[in-house]
Amino acid sequence: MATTRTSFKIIALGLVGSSLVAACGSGDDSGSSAGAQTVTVYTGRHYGIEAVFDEFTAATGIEVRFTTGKDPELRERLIAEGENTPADLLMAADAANIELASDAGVLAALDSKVLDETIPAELRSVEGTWFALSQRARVVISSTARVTDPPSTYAAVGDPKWSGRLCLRPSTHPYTQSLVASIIAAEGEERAAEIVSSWVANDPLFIDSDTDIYKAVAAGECDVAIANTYYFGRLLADDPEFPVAITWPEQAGRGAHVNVSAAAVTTHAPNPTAAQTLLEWLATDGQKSFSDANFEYPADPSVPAADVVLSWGEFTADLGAVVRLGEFQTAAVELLSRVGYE
Amino acid sequence: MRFLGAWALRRAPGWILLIVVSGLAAAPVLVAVWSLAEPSTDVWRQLWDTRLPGMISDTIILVVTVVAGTVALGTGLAWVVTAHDFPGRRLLGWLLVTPLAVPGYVLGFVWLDTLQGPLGARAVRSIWLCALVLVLTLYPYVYLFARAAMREQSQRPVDVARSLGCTPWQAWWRVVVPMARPSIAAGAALVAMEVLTDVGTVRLFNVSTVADGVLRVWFDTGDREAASELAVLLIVAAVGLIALERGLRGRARYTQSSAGGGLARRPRSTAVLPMAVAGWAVLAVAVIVPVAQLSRWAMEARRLGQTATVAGDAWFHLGSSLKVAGLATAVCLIVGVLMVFTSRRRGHFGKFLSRVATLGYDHYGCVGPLRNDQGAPMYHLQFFSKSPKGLAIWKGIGQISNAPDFEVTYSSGSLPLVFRTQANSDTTLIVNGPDGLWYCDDDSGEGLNAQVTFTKPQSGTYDIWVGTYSGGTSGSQLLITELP
Repeated sequence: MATTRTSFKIIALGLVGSSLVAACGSGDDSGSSAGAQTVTVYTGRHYGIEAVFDEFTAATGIEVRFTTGKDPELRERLIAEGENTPADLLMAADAANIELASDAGVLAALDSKVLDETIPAELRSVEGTWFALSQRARVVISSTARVTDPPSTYAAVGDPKWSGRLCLRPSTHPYTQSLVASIIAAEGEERAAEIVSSWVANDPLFIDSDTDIYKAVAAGECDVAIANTYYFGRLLADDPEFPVAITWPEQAGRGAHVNVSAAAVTTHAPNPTAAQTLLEWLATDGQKSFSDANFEYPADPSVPAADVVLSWGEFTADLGAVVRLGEFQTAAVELLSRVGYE
Repeated sequence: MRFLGAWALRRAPGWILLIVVSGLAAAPVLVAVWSLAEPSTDVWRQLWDTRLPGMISDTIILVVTVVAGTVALGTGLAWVVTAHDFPGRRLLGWLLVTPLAVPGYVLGFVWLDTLQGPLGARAVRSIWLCALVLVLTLYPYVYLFARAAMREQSQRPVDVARSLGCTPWQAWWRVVVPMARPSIAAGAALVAMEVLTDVGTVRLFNVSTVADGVLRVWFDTGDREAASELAVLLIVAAVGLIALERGLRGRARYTQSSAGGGLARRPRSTAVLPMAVAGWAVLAVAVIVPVAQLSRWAMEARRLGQTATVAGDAWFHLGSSLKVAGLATAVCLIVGVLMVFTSRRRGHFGKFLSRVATLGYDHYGCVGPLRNDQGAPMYHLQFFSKSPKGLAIWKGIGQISNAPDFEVTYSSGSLPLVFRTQANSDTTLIVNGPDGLWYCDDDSGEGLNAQVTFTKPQSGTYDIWVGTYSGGTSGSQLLITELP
């Protein structure tokens, strides 16, 4: 009997405790937003972001708190946190992941004249949730010393002559998933599976870092690879003689695969106004610094890219696929598993 | 009746603690198992046709090789420092534990980058190098257990073996190791669990294990259900490992009395020198060289003016690490010691419950509070006891995990925020603030009550856990006030 009574006592006191807490919690919910304005950012884009945020704070007086992470992790975190999220703005380095977050309902649709005017329609979500801030192209790279006829399409990377000479990023990375999603969008799933299978048949060396992929090509570990251009910008800044060349693929057709750095205000943002201010600032006054910090192409076509980026020449980009990358992401992941891509 | 009532009163608090802690520990596991009630058949079929067989075989290869490697290395090193005398023996004995503080993926990254040049980028990305790196970070689990066992062993059986014609090596192999076997098996079981749940190191080396598969399914497809189901495979493996370890131990819990006095150390001589060299060489490979390499990179990055994009400076991160480490240690000590005390003399069911409490260990292991795939905060606990010489002996692991007892949503003004317990027994408080930091207290309040004060509280949600120090169950109230 004593046992039961003790337990009852505990339960009763627990209830008292919880109601006490509930009273406190609800009573204090109102009357926030005192003091300096702060905007909290979850960002999957890392490079040089701090300096850009500092610039924003200097211009507007709004403080930026940020947490870095991988795009899919931040997406899942936002979904898991739901209404309790501290994040005002989600920033991703991949269009598919931010579109999936949008599909999950954690991103707010914005009505912003500034964003609608500066960001081209193919670089923002159809629902008006996310907006691209810069573009990066995923291209074919090759050794200047050992390759004279680099592949001019993504399919040509699967040519048997590159067997044992190819480096690729593993399928766990969103860049790989989105590249394959863009191929599915353009050529259909069946043809995409053939193309990716032909890459796998070349026994690629999988390296989970674009910088290391560039270095592997330079070091002779492989002759041909697929990587993003901005890493080239950074490597050239260190060594202007870096022995790697880039080839814009699909120039006779849809254009090179481009992905974006994009941002969106979250549905449950504690401070949505400041978040929108930051987003609009990044699309306008901050556009140049944001893109140049990582040698990317600005989303606003009227803003010029960095000189070194412009020196690689003009190219046709597969812009049409950007808003569809999320739609084909699951198919891409399944396809990559099916063909045995690591 | 009267007798029975008194018995119940004395025993009830312990039982409740046991049931609660093991219940909390088992909760995420049960949720994962529950997810199997409605299996994601399509995902399983697709996984089975594609990556799953490879994941399972890679996991098995890795567990077997790393366990073998850590047992050999950990036991050997324990013997080197307990049965030999050489300059720097004590220091080495301590330093050999330090790889526990180096995460596998950090060591893995250092060796991957260092060996990439001489071996080539393709050759370094291998399951064998991955296994080697894991052996070098995980051997201390076996080493600590084996060293503690050998310290408690008596020299007498070794002398008997020697008098019967055994060489020192044979005496070690036939007498010392078999007597330390239960401890070695316990260490090996922990190593196996760590390997099962590693997700950082394996990916560096392009090794795809089941734990890595859980993350693939979760992050690549956003399918949390299917990821939980896949995690059940890990749970099954963990249960199997615990059973295997029990089997290996047999009935041997303590092989001998602690009054053994330790093994006699072979005195300093040239014959002992190779032992010393081997010990220091392991330390060099596992810690000294990687730390030197990391420092070199750090200085180079500083010279080139490179910065990493992380919020907060080094001091902030050092502070958080220390806070988390301190809190984790406190929680481990409290809960661990309580569990050990209360599970004593409680028959089979009590032992079963305390075993259940270690089950959750198969979730991503890392010291300190972390969030698991159900989004619930959990503490991974390690607890220590003091040896007669005052050394901390690692005794085991445990875990509590659950939603907090209370959640307070608070909008800050100029007043402080105080959480305080009011109880007749010794209570403890753990608070996870809106800043994500952890605060804990035992006795700052009146008497043995706990109190956590935020002088400049942030707005947001405070998660609060109330615990007891002694395992007593007289009720307690949580007071929340803005008056300190």
